[in-house]
Amino acid sequence: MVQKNINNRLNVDSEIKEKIIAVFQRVFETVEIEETVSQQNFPKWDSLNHLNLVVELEDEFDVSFEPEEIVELKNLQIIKDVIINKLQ
Amino acid sequence: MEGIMLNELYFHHIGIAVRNIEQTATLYLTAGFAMTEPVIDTLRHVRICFLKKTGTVFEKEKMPLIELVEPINELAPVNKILEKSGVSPYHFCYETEDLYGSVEKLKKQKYLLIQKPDLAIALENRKVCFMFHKDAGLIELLEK
Repeated sequence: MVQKNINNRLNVDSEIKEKIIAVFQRVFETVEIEETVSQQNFPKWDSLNHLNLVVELEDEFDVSFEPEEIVELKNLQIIKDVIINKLQ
Repeated sequence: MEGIMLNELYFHHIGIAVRNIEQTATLYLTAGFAMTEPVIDTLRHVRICFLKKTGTVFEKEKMPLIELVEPINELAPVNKILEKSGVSPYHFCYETEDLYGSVEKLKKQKYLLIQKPDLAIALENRKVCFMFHKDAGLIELLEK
């Protein structure tokens, strides 16, 4: 039972991560998106594209981000955690 | 559904990101604009002044109010505009009778609230907020 729950959780995590990567690919018009992508290591992720990214993430997951959350979405891992938290 | 701009919004000013208020203002002063005393907005880490065309000629009266926004430290979001585009217009400001109501309506039109309503010292401590739409850019809402 516990193992099943863990597996389910991992599947959800993986599915959400894949969706986020697809959003990144659309916004930044490139297929080369690493799981470690962050504002620091990805030059295309400037302030304007950050806003475009947030808009697309809201659309994709039907969630809404508060202004203080928007500035914290600095890498893919954080984005995934925040979205999972909102979807729970 | 209302269009991309709400009927209840009234144009107020154009915001221009500048590196130095006095340097940019000189151009406008030469052209007959009057300048307000610059004020420091510590919430947004900027120095601000407004420029208004004076005179009685009809064409001149149609000139918009212009806001010059100068960063006072590295925390000012306007630094990013200057880095990317140099001195440039970057937002239109609209007045609204119901700030929070307009925010909610614009959210439904896919505007993103990127700065919550807060007091603006440069605008008689009226509340302002900033919203972004990928097809409209950055707008400021000002409580009437």
